[in-house]
Amino acid sequence: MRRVVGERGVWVAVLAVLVLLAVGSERLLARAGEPPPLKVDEATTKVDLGDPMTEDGQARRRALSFGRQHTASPLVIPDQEIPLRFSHEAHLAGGKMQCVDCHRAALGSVRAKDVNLPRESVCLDCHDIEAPDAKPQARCETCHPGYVPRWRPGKSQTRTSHVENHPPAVRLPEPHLKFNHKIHVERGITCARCHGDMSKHQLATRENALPVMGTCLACHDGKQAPDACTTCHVAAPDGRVQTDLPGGKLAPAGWYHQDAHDDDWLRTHRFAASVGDGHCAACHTENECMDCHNGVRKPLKVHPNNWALMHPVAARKNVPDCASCHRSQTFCADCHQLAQVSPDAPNRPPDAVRFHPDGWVDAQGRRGANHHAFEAQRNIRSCASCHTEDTCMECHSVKTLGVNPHPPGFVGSGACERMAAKNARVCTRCHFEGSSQLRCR
Amino acid sequence: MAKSMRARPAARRAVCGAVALLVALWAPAPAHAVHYRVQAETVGDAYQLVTSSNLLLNRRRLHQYLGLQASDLLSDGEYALNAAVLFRFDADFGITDQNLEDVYHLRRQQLSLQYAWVDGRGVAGFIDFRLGRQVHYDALDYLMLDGVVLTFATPWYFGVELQAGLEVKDGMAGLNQSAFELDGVRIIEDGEANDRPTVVVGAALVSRDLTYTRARLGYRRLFSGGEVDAEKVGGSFYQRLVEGLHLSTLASYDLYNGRFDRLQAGLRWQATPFLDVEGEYVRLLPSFDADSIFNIFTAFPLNDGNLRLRLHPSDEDRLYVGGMVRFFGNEGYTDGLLLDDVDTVVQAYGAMAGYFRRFAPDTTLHVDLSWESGYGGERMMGDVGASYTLVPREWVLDGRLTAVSFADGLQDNLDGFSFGYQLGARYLIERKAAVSLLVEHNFSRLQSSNLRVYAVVDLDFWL
Repeated sequence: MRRVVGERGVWVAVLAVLVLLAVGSERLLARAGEPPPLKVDEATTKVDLGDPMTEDGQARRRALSFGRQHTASPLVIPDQEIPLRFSHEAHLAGGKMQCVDCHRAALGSVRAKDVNLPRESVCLDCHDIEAPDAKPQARCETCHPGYVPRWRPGKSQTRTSHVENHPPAVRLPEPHLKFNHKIHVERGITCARCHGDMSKHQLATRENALPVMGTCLACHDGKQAPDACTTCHVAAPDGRVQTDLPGGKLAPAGWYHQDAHDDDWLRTHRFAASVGDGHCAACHTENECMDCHNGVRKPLKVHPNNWALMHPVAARKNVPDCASCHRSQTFCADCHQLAQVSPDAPNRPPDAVRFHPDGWVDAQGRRGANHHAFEAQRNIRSCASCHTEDTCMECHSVKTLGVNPHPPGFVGSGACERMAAKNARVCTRCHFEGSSQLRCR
Repeated sequence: MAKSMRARPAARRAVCGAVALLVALWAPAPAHAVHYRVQAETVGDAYQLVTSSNLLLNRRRLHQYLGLQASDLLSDGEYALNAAVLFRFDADFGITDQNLEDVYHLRRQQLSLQYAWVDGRGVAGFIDFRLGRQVHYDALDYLMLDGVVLTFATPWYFGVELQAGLEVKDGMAGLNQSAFELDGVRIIEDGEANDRPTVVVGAALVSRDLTYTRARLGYRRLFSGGEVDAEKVGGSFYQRLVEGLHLSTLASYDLYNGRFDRLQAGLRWQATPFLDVEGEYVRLLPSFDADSIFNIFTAFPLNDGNLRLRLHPSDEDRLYVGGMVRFFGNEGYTDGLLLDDVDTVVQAYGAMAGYFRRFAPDTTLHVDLSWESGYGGERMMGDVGASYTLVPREWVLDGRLTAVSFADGLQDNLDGFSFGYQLGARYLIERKAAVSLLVEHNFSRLQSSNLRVYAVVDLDFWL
């Protein structure tokens, strides 16, 4: 009866989880629809950003992604150099201008590598360099801070083509991303939806103007828009995400799932992998799993030097979880036999090193850590790396000494019936065929 | 004149046709084509071990992997049909004839098929499948399967996954070698007893199209000769609770033993741009093949708590400090002899800290310190490693120093101190091939000098 109740409880729990998943999905989706805030604001940050014309100023701007600020990844959007002075706030405040007044090219842009910044001539439409009294003054230094032009001798100082030295160029390296502005614009997605309220910013940078992945995921949820990683990320020839980028290896930072590939990832990736929903397979092949879990080429981080000598301590603690890569009886036992560690090892000399303390088998009194029962009841995998069941049955079998290893109340708790119903073969290892014990009596 | 007037359009057509033909011939290949990937890896290692009777055991092994992958076989750009195969060949030159006689499972050479599958996506718009030998992992266990895994997409934010086939067993004849076989029933003197085919059936519900939720709920049964070998139900669940706060849980319930064999819950809080806090609880009670009596002895769980703080002062620097504690309780037995007889609480504990710095895209330094004590023994370890790119995308040098003090806790003769270094070099050729050599040299009380040489040749390219 207890067995039935126990199993029924498990199935009720399973059903409850299902119902929660179904009911909760709408709410979860609603939460997913909130774009995460763009955190870094050059206008309001207290960090001294220095002069954008200098290398130091550019470096400081890049360093706005200090720590793990939630900004677009420099691997995907490589470091940009924008040695300009520009105030989006001044241009957009009060609805004086619209984004497309300057960024008209964005409306028809179909590639992420398109540079949708206005050309200088667009600025000159309003900032007439020929009108020295205009406000603000249309001097070169207004937009190119620190730039002092050297005019060609005899040429008027009203045309940029008349200068000998040009200001530092804007450098926007090609992003490693797929993006089509045109499609988004056609679907009525406003600029602010992805780029935020630029009227609060001065210069637009990667850190304050470009969306993070969460912004995309707000719509790219598999329902409103495709949610495959390669919708935006560049694909490798096998359709997976191209993670080997010029700036380094692309890996999740853990903002959206518990998948930050950090120092502890070797231990904690079990969670992410256990869902088996294709999340890992978006970047990784099965081969990469096999390299460690069934391979001979372990990353050095897994085991330190001289591991063969010191692994017994880790094995007894089961830290790391040995069974993730090694099954005791198909990996450990062979080597332990060859090294004559196992008691089953052939030709094992009587003076071989002893691995268990005195009293390990038959000590009387309290059975603490120096008694085999303690280890066997908690971490029997370490026992199984040397011993087969035959070792246990030398005492724990009605066919030998009859020392009962079953927990108190094994018969009558439903455990005996349950186990015998599912697999009666194992019972006959220790109990005689036809005995009443096989019927849990 | 009229003739020339007629001839001119004809000539124009001919020229246009020729141009069109040339364009067709010289045009780039269709955007979508079958992509073939070849991966070959040769690993050789050589070292010696001291046996418990103070003899030298030679380990001289060669491992060869050969993998082939064909993607987008239908050339539809959707990767609707793909295939992959991975062979592995192991040769052990250190094994003597005597070893082969003594140890039943030992083989000098072994060829195995690690996986060989065909995978289809979006069949009829809602079915994915993988057919053949494959490795499957979920909250229940690892599994090497000869069979099929089918996934049906539904419009309700989850898919239905079905699994069926035979478990690949290490001891079976043929191209079989698995690290994932159910543990517990190996009989060293009679490996044939493990040759009975084990049938696998399973089903799972898997979340899909939920941006910040990932969930799986599954059931799997392995049986042979009409008896259960393993039967489990369980799953895993991830939820981003709010921005920066992540919850993960995992549970596996063993229906044969009537208990959870793994419970795990973790919480990660990205507290500030500089600091993450991560806590985790793991309750582990190992289960074995139901044919094994080891299930009977396994009674008490390991209860582990882990805490880790991560600091990110910059994109280039990372620091962490952490601690762990393990409780060995006696829950499960509420009365009877054992409760009074066994120490009720024995603990293990430890702490760790580390620093990582990236100086350039491929130049790194890491320092890790750890200390563990309590039940199971004591271990104190310091580890410093660096990787330096000598020639970008060509030569990489690696170095590592490790010092470890360890004590078994029960046997004084198993205490020791080990100091070792590793020196490695890697030469990359066009990012398609790499040759690596690693030398590891260790010094300890038990082995005054232990040298290990490890060489790898890697090929990995798309045709």
